[in-house]
Amino acid sequence: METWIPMAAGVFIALLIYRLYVRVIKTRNATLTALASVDVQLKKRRDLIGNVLAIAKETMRQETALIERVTALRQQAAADPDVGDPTSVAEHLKAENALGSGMQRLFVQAEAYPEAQFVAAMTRAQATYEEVEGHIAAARRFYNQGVEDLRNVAEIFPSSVIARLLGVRALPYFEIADEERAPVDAAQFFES
Amino acid sequence: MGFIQWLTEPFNETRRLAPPDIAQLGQPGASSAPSLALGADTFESLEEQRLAAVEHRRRCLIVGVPAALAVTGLAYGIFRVFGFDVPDAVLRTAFFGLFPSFLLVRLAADGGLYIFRKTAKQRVLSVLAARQGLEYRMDGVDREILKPFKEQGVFGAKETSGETEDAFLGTVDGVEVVLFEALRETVSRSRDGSSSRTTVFHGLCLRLGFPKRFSGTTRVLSEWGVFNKFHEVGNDVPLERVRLEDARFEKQFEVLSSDQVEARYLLTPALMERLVAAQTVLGPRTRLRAAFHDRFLLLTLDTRKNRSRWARMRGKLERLHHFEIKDESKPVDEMEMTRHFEAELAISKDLVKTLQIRMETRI
Repeated sequence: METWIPMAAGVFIALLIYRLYVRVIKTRNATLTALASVDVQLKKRRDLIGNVLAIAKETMRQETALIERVTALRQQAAADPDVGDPTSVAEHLKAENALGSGMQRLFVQAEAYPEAQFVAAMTRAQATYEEVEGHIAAARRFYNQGVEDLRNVAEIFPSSVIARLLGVRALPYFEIADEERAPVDAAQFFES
Repeated sequence: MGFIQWLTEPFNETRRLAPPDIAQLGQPGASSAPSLALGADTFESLEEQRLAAVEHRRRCLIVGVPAALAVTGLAYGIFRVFGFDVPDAVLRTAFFGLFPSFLLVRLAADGGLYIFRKTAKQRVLSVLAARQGLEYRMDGVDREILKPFKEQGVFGAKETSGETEDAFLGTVDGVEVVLFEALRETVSRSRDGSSSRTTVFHGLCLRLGFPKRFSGTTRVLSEWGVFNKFHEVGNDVPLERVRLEDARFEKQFEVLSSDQVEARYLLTPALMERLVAAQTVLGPRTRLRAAFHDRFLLLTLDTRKNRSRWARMRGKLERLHHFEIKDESKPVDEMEMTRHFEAELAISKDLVKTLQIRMETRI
């Protein structure tokens, strides 16, 4: 009778630990799935950027420096991150943000080139780009939700103990670039 | 004047005032502007028709009630002659004499008012719809429009039959709109072979053109907790619960989707806020459900009253008919028919405005 109680307690604790283990693994996998969704959308954008750069190279001859910079950022962002390493993921997302900012600058500069054929091609490209950006924003929300769950699991006791034992670390949030966060200054568009 | 002529005269008068041809009403802004007016002459002719129908009803009742009583008496006599005892003869008379004869009187008496209701609805709603750039169809929508509503489960439960009526098709503020009233039922059969009908939905359905491209299935359901589990199974593509960041939205709705990213692409923070605003505009009695299908946003507004959980589960909610003339005993100009219809028709404009579904914003 007396041995029954510690045995039951042992089984209960084992079940509790297993439950925490399942929760940690499930949350990590869900976050990695969300990260993969982000990557799918970002790859779609990188492919599109390749086409936009090809159009830009033909006409925007005075913007060679900008085009080269965007090309370099594109190559930098194309490198696959180590999903187990939060620093690598953070750098990857930072590179993607920089690429996004570079593209915004490119579209702004493109407005200075009035050639009809170029304008039509750029308008089409920009519309598609905006649609892809919409998907990226959605994937970002999905990923950030996963990151929040993972952070809760990795930082709140008792799941934090299991997470530490398994080497599960919180991934960084995918935040929007500082340029996008800044309020739009309408006056600059009217300056000659 | 002969007896038959006296009896049918008001009815013939009612038929003479037939509903106008919708095609003749023209388009808004076109040269046929006078046809879009609901002037005194329209109401005068409708009032004439109503009075004729009321008179026809009165005459039918004057003749019909004694006639029905006579038929009942005759039936009783016949049953007695054939040797049935009193209780048996009374029962048979009720079934074969009283009920059928009074039913016939009722049908004959109300025929004129039925035609009046249809005519008035057709005339007034056609004009009001045309003013908003919409086309009115009294007989509802075709199967093609209804099909996605059924497939997406936005009627709240599996339904097997039903009908639609009072459809409005057109464009409101640049958004393609189809608005119609629907009654959906499910027919269940018991072991002894008898069937019973349960209303699963009665209210308004809206199909709005949506300015985003999507390929998956996303449903926005009223928060029913465990009941929504039925939506997750039985689909070609499995649906998963989508947790969204807007706490107010999450409190009122539950989102299920085949694609977590696409669901968030469609349900932007702005649209979530607007759906909450739309639910506020509609009030707590109206249950709003939505689904994204093809290139449309499908919305259903279950407007049944008495929504206790027990009544809801048993499908016994009181129906609330839309686009109907409530009381034909009043004169036409006192019915406030136009104001009432305009208020109901404004729902599509209100929702398009509240949801701000426009190509330019894409949110």
